[in-house]
Amino acid sequence: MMDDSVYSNAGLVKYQRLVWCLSLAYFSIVCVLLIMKVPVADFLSHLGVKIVLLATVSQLVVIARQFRQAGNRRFMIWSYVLLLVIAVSSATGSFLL
Amino acid sequence: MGLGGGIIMVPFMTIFLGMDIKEAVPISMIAIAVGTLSTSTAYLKKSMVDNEMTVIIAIFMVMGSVTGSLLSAFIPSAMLKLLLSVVVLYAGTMMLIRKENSRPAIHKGHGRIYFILAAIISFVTGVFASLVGLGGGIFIIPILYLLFGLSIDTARGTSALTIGFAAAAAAIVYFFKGQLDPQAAAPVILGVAAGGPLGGHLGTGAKPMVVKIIFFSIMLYIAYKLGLEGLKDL
Repeated sequence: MMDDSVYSNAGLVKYQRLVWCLSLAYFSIVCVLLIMKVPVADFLSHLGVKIVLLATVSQLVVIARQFRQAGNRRFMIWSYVLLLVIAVSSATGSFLL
Repeated sequence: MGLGGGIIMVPFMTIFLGMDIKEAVPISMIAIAVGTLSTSTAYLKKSMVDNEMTVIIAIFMVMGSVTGSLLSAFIPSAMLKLLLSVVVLYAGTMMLIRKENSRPAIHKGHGRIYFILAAIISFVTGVFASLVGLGGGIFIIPILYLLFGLSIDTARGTSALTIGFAAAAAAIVYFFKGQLDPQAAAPVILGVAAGGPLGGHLGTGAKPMVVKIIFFSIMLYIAYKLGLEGLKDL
């Protein structure tokens, strides 16, 4: 069982804040470049989408670490299982659809 | 509200911006994924997220989302819309009339039954949400609240984090299939990222009864739209 007194969302909150700040700054620049029709904007928007998707899924590593710190190994493993499921489902879906 | 925002984004992009729905849905999915990064922060800070529930539900929702994408070619959309209309109307009404201290149908103490039910329901929700191009918050919140007995606040917080993973999985599929236009998505991502924290801040401070009424109104509208479209398509 998880020790609720030890479990803390502080790591996830910090991670989300960081990703949010970087995405806001990054996509502000990309949007300005798109308006100015700078050729590199297309490449940067592609890159931004990839990074932001990776960052969203990577939250699971932070959640797994939080579960580990709280002594909840069962849900730490489930978090990594979710990461694996997303990877496999995305790959399968991309192939089948 | 704990919703992803797809219910607003997809109709807005198709009706007001003249986008094809097949172009709007992938953009909506990535916007939901990014949006949950900022909205769920406020819920996490106030301990309004059940992380264990998030992980379990997200696993089966992701699998359901991909299955739904595959099934969409075989199920008549009119039947699906009519069915969803009834489900949404029922869930909205139950949320409005249910008392906070009434006994949940199932909770963590039930162990294996809890796990199996959570898995089945999340999978079905993922299939439904994917079929109609939404994040799934509109289905997950009533389920968490009515079936699992979470408070309306925790249900919203848990939903906000959960749907981000399902939406990200769907967005990855669309991206690698070349159906997601990053240039069109960039301004939407910027808008969602900028507005997300405000929504999260307002959402954590809102009174449960106010949330219930707003939620019921949204669900009533969705039930009406789905029912109307379903009857037209018959």
